[in-house]
Amino acid sequence: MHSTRSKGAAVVMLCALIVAACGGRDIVAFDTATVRGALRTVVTAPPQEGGLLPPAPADGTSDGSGGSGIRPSGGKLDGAGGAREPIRLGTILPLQGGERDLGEPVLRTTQAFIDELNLRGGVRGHPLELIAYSACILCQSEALTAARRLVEEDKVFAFVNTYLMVVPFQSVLPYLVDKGVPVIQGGSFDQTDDALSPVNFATAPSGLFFGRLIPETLKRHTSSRAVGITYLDVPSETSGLPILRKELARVGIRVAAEERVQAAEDAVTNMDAVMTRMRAAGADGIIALDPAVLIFGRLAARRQGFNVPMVGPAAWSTLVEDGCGATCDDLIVTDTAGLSYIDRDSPQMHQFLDVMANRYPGGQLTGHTLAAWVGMQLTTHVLNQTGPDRRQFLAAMEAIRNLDLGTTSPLTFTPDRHLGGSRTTLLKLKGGKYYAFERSVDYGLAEP
Amino acid sequence: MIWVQYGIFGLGVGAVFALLAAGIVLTYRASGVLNFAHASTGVAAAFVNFELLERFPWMPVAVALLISVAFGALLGVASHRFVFAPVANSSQIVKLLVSFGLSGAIQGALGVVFSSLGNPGGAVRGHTLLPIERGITLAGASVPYQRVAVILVGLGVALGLALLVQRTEFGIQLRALAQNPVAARLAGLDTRRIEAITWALAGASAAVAAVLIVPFGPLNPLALNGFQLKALAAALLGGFVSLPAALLGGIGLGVLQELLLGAPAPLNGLRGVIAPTAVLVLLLLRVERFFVTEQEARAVQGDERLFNAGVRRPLLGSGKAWLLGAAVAALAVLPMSGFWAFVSTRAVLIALLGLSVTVLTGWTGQVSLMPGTFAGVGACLAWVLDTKLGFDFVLVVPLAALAAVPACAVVGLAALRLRPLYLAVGTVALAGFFDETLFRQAWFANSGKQMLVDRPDYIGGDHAFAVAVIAIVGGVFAFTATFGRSRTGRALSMVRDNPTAGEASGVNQLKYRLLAFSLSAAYGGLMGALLAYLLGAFTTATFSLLILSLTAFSVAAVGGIRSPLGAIVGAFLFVEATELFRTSGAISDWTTLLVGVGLVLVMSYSPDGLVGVGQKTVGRLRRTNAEVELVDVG
Repeated sequence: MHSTRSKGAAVVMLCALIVAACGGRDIVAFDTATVRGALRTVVTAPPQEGGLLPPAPADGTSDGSGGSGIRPSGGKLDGAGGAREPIRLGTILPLQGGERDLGEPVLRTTQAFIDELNLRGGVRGHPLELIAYSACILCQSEALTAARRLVEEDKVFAFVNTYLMVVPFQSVLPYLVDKGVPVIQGGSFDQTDDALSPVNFATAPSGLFFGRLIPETLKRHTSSRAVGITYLDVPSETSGLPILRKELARVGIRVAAEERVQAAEDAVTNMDAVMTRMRAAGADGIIALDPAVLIFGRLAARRQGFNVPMVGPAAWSTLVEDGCGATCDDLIVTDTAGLSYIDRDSPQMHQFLDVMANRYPGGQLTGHTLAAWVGMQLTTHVLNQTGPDRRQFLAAMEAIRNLDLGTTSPLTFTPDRHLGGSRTTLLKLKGGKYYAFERSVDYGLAEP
Repeated sequence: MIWVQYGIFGLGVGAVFALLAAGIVLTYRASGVLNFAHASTGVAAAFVNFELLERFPWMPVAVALLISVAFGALLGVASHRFVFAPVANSSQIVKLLVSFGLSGAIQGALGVVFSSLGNPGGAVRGHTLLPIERGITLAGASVPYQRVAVILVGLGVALGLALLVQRTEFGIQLRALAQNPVAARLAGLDTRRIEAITWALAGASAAVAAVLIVPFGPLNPLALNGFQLKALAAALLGGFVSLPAALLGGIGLGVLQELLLGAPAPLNGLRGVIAPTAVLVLLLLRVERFFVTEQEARAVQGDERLFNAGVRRPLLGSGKAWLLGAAVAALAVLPMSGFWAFVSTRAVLIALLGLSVTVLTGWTGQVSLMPGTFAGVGACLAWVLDTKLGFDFVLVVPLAALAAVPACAVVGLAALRLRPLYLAVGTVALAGFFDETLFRQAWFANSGKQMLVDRPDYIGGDHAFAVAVIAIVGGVFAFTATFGRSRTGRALSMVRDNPTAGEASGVNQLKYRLLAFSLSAAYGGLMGALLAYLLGAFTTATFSLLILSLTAFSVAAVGGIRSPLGAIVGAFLFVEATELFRTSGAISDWTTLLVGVGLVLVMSYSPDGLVGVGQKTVGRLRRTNAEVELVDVG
């Protein structure tokens, strides 16, 4: 009796296995070569025309220039253009627990853009709808589950602004490539391997960005000839190190010491010793590849009387403004994503500031929030041309040349280059406030 | 001279480790609780300190500090009264899990409360008691006043606590309570009062540590998580009972950390490896015996009996029932969408990792906090065997499972010399060791970068792969159930329940402990290999302690750590329920808070987890039916 039952179970399982195997893969292969050939029109916007929200509706509920304008989000189009099917966009961000402070500003800014756009008629009459799921910043299984749900159950057209999720997207991107789902990153995304990126577009690559820009900055603006490098042990920073070392050697700057900071606790406890070590190694300048390391390193260096030039990415950081204050005066700061147009007087930047003030009161104006805005500007700019057709959308993205969104450096994408930006602005601090001291610096993506 | 500077910085760091370690030792002595929520208590006090000074700028920082320390003391007392006292008679493993839950609950509550007050964490720095930018010059090093305060206050408080325990009447009472709670009560000691005072002292010391150190970095609910592990390592030096040893351990660890930072390359780059190695060496040398009296050691030994009497028999099920269940599950997957088949496969794999915890911890009482690391070894092996060497899935999966066994043998060998709680901390260090060594190798883990593993065509679809995984994992569960009922399986339980009696009955502890580790490692390796195929692309970050290991441990514990069914229940709750209730744009800390509170409640009410709740309910129903029948007969 028992033997019969177990044999029965085995047969059932075998049948189930065969039936499932015969069903084959339920993944539709996506031919990126075809995509690239689908549309070759070069999309080049005249200066200050890309990424601008359409005119506000006549009732005055707009971006803040006229009225309060705060409306709840939703898929239903509430502006001009009639009711058409919403275009769904997906994002995955850390929204729970101790990491929510990272994800929340990005989500709220993205949602603010969408709410304002829907109020003004959406994209070609389609309202946009954002579906955002939470995953922790190291959780690959969780993020892949969320991505699959967005694509297969929620039927999103594209992903936007997942630039905080560098580690989880190691698992997610191959899936999205397979499905042909576009991913638009407003900020930089660790993307040193182009094989991964037929669908992924970022405004700047962190590794290449730091690698090329920082040595040039040191050479032009400091007399440092031996530097100490300190960085957080995360892929977005470590992946750029080989390029950074190579470029430093090219401009004749020696690496005196390198110090990997393992976690936030290291940054809290060890920066005094890190700076002591750098000084002992003969460093006459410091490169810090992370805002937290830069600020706490700067504070520690000052405490040690180690007053050497420091360079690193920390633009638009409230932590710098509030936490470092005058100690960070004369620190040379780049941004984290080619987005240092902090004081740019463009209609798009005004829209960003106004909409943020109205729809996200109290929201921080940081690199993260501006990046989220830029991501939505870029996505809707191309969607306006192609509509919700993935192949045409990807082709149009790859045809963008010198697109000025008014909030970042001009963007150029090609089939071989999905890293759009090439220029940034260098900043310094005075009394805890940023100011631009060199504009439109080319950080050169082409091999030197 | 420069080494003196590193030493001074190390003193500052070490003083914080020592302060936190002192609190951990105090609560362990008083209540037998290894409190993983200790640092979170301190962070809560640091948040209170920050809020006070933000909202009442006129308030002197010293007054804010005093109020914060009082808050820390109150939180300590409340933690004991409402969270740990209800599980006072439960096993160490239950208390450990409750402390994990409490830590999550405190961190979640901090997020909820302080965000609602308009202070998102992360971007703010705590207020300093003394100027942080200026300081005194010592041996050429400028030591800020705040750091001087950390050193002096930290050492002062830690030394004061040590003297309190060693030299005062209260200390004698506390020691008596630690060594024999029943005898202490019989001798007329008010043990509740002693415990309350001790928890207050521990909470206050955590508050002092946090308020002093947090201004050196950003203030957020996770700010002291790294400190917690270092403090545990320091407390370990004295077997969690010796305050002087914890003090020495904290200072030693801080100074060692800073000296290594200044060491020449390549020694400097190895500091991530050296710290966990040092912990392991100390553990294996049993350094605690130099600090702990024989009497204390015996008391600790008594504390570490993992399971108290009266718990229910584990629900094993028969091998055939498991196979039948797997067949039903395989059939149930077929009508699902590809996405839900994927989700179910993930749940089954988490259940398999939970089963590895059941076998090791539930059955033999060996607390390993690194099941995720075992899975990582399996996943990397799958990448090596499949992608690099071209082996087929049918060879890769069993080979990865088997090869994980020797790779993890080092843990098993260490386990033979360690008590369960020491092993728990030791495995945290070992997980760090694996992260810093094996998981950074190009040949084994692609230098920590992305690894791609393609499924073969015959199981390429979501449904086919789900059925294959269910078949494999169902077979493993069936084997485990059969094994648990066998003579060998019962011997494993004896190693846990009564090792001395086991030895007397001819049960070779070494053999059975190693067997449990091998089985657990094989299950972990198998899970990792299958997860690699499920994800298709991954890095070793997936297998970090805080992600997969604690998930597996919590899944097994909430479901029921001694029953294979518990792993299934926990995994489906964790994966499927999360997916069912997933909503768009849900921004909150409530999840962290609720998961923490849930873990505390489940462990408090039913140490055997949800399976235990089910057993209780069924037992009650049976008794009620039997009574009804008796009445009818009557």
